Parts: sequence; C-alpha cells; structure tokens
Amino acid sequence: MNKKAVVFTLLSLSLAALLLLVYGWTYEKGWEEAYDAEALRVQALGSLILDIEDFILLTLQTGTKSTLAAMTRHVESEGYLSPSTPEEAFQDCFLHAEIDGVACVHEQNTTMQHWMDLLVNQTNKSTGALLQYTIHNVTIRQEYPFLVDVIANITITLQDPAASWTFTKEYPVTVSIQGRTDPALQHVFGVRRAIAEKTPPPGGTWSYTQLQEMYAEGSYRERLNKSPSYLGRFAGNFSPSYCCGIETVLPSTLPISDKPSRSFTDHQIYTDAYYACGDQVYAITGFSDPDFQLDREHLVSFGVIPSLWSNSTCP
Amino acid sequence: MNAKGSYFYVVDAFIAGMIIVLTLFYLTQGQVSTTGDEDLFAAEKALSFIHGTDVRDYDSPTMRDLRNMSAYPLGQGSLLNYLAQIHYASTQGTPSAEDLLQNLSRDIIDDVVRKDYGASLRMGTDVLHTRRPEAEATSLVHYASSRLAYYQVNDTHIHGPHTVLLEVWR
Repeated sequence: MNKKAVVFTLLSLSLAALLLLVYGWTYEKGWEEAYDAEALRVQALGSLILDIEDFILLTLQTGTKSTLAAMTRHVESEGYLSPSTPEEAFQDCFLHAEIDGVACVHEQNTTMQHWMDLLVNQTNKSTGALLQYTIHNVTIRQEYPFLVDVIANITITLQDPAASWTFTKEYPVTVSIQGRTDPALQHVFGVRRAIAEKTPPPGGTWSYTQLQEMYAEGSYRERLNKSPSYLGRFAGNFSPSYCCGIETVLPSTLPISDKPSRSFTDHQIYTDAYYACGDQVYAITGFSDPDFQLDREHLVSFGVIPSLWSNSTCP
Repeated sequence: MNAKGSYFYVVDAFIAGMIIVLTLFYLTQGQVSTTGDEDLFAAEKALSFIHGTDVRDYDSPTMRDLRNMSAYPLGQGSLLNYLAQIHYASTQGTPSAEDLLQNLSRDIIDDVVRKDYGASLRMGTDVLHTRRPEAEATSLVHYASSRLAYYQVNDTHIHGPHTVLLEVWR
C-alpha cells in the first residue's frame, strides 16, 4: 500500500476532531444557556407584561363605565356640564375625580386606578418585580350611536434585577353605552333609565308595533342627524348629531307642561318644542297611553298610518 | 503513480468523506436529541395552553357538565379566566363550585402535563389541584410558570387579578 494514500483520512480525522472540539463546546455552552435562570426569568416577565396589557384593557373598560356613571350623578346634582365639554369632563373625572372643581364621585372600588393598584400589589408580591404605571391622559369620543371610543395614554414600568421594561402606549377600547343611565332623563325628570338599543326591523323600516315596544321598554333607537348623541346629553346639547343621534319616547305621565302641544320624544321635550295640537301633533288611536302624542315627522317615521292619528287630546 | 496506487487514493478519499459525514451527523443529531427544551418549558407551555385556549374550544368530562349549568356561562375568554370565573363562584359560596373547580383543574393538568410528571395548579393562595404530590419533595427537577387570571363580575367589578402558578416536577 502506498503510504501517501492515507493523507485524506488523516486530514479528515483532524477536521473531525476540530469540528467536535468547536461545536461540541458550543453545544455544552448552549445547554447551559438554556438553563440560564436569568433568561427564564426574562421570559416569565415577558409573559407577565402581556397579561398586564390585557388587564389594562379590561380595567380601562370598567374605568370608563365607572366614570360615565359618576358623570351622570354629577349632572344629576350639579346640572349639565359647563364650562367643560363632555370630553374634558370625562378626562377630569377619570383621572382626578372632579369636574370644574366639583367632586365627581365614583362608586367605591370601581375606577381603573383601583384595579391597576390591585394589579401592582399582586405583581410586586407574587413576582418580586416592581411594577409602576402612570396614566397621562384619557380621551373619549363617539363615532357610532351606541358606542364610545376611549384611548388612554399609559406608561408602564417593570423593574427586575434580570431586566427592565419601560414603555408608553395608547390603549384603545370601545365601550357600549347600553346599560348606562341617560344623563338628561335623570337630570330633567329624575328618571333612571338604562339605555337599551331598539334595532330596526329587517329592511330598516320602523313600524307602529315597534313604537309600542319602544314605549313599553323605554328603549332607544338610532336617528342620525335628527337626534342628540349620548355624550351631548351630558352638556345639555340636544342639537342633532350626524354620527351618533339616538332618541327615546317618554310617557305622558311625566310632569310635562302643555301636554297637548308636545311631541313626546325625549329631545323634543328637553328643547321645549311646541306644536299645534291636531295639526302638527297627534295622539294615536288605541295606543296604551291615551295622552301620548307625536309630531307628524315621527308618526310617519314610525309608520303610524294617518287613520290612527287622533286629535282627541286637543283642548 | 501506478494503477494500484490510484486505487488506494480513491479508497482513502472515500474513508475521509465517510469520517466527515459521520462527524457532522453526530453533531447535528446530538443537538436535536438532547436539548431538553421540552422539559425546560413544560410548565410554561402547559400554562400558555391554558391561557391561550378559548374556553369554548376546550372539552373534558367536567367541561361537559359545566356546559349544562347556567351558573357558569361560557363567555369568550380563555380557559384560564374561566377558572377565575369558577373561583369567583366558589368564593361566593356557590354550591359545588369548589368541586367543579378542582375537577376542571384535574382535567386540565391531565391534558396538558405529561402523565409521568407531578403538577400543581394554584390560584392566588388556593391550591386547585395537585398530581403526584408525594414526588414533589424528592424531585430533582422542578419547573414553574405563572400568569394573571381575572373574571369580570359586572360592568365595574373584577374578581382578581390573581396569580395562577403551575408547578411541574418529575
């Protein structure tokens, strides 16, 4: 055998030894890294931050509902918002529990800060990491009749010997106003009515039957560009809202003056609108409330046929 | 070089190639088969499953019972937050809530943690279920993972947040 013919074998053995030395060492190092307690801690805290962000969204929803309830009570006791707009009042009530220098009283243990403080205590106790938060501002706006959009700008800090996180983000939530008390009805008549949406029938044409149901339920229907918005009601702003108008009908049993000259939708009563009885407004033959009246435009919009229009309530 | 000499060079090159191939095969197979990641993240993966699974998508003997009970409606939340919902019911003294909570926790642990591992699931200070507790003290390897759980009781009230701790040992 030619002795030079083992040169490739020798070279490959050398290369194999080199590979085993280099990558074998790397492998051992990787194993140790995988068990690195610090890396595991960072991963666990990363999961915790995801949970915290989910919890922030939930507490922002509860805080929004708490604030709207507090604002409703504020309007009930202090009157319509002024000079603050509903948007400004919401932020002041949410962050500082006051509106225009007057306390805006939240129901106990319902604010976002209350739940976030619980989270901070829980996190600090169970993980040993230091969690802190700051709510910089909160904005509210309406784009749809039965929803409000709230955005909170919040800084979160989580400090731990293994790693630290600090970030500022906008957290958006959309909250239904269904179930919230109508602030205007509460203020004007002292009636606590929870807003519930009456959806139009298939095809979108309202019927007399639905008017009867709305009256019985005290529910609200969407009327864009013809009725005031939910947020507008806090400021006594009953001008039509292009995006977010809603209305309800009121019973004639409420203490309303000059009833024969009135149309019993909420905003028409609040704006003190008067009509000519038997010409512009009519009672409805066979309706459960014999003194209940609506103006022509609303009677038509509810599909009440003219043969049912009655002038029986006219003096 | 004669023909016989060339033959030895070819055999030599072939053997050298085999050595290199076998070395690379050994290295790559070694990396894959012995990382131990599955063990290392056993608790993390199991709890991630509980956290990330919609309660409506989970099935177990206890879940089938719960689906027929109006006291524990299935919302759109995670399995983890559904545990918080039943935990809330148990703190309110709802009959059988504590048993249901323990049974559901047992189902979940049986489904997500290897049978030969011991495991314990806690919500706050309450132990929901423990499997193979006798092995815990003697176990040399012990993994843990924690997440937050909560339940929205109504518009403005939340049950929690509670730290849910899953410990796994073998």
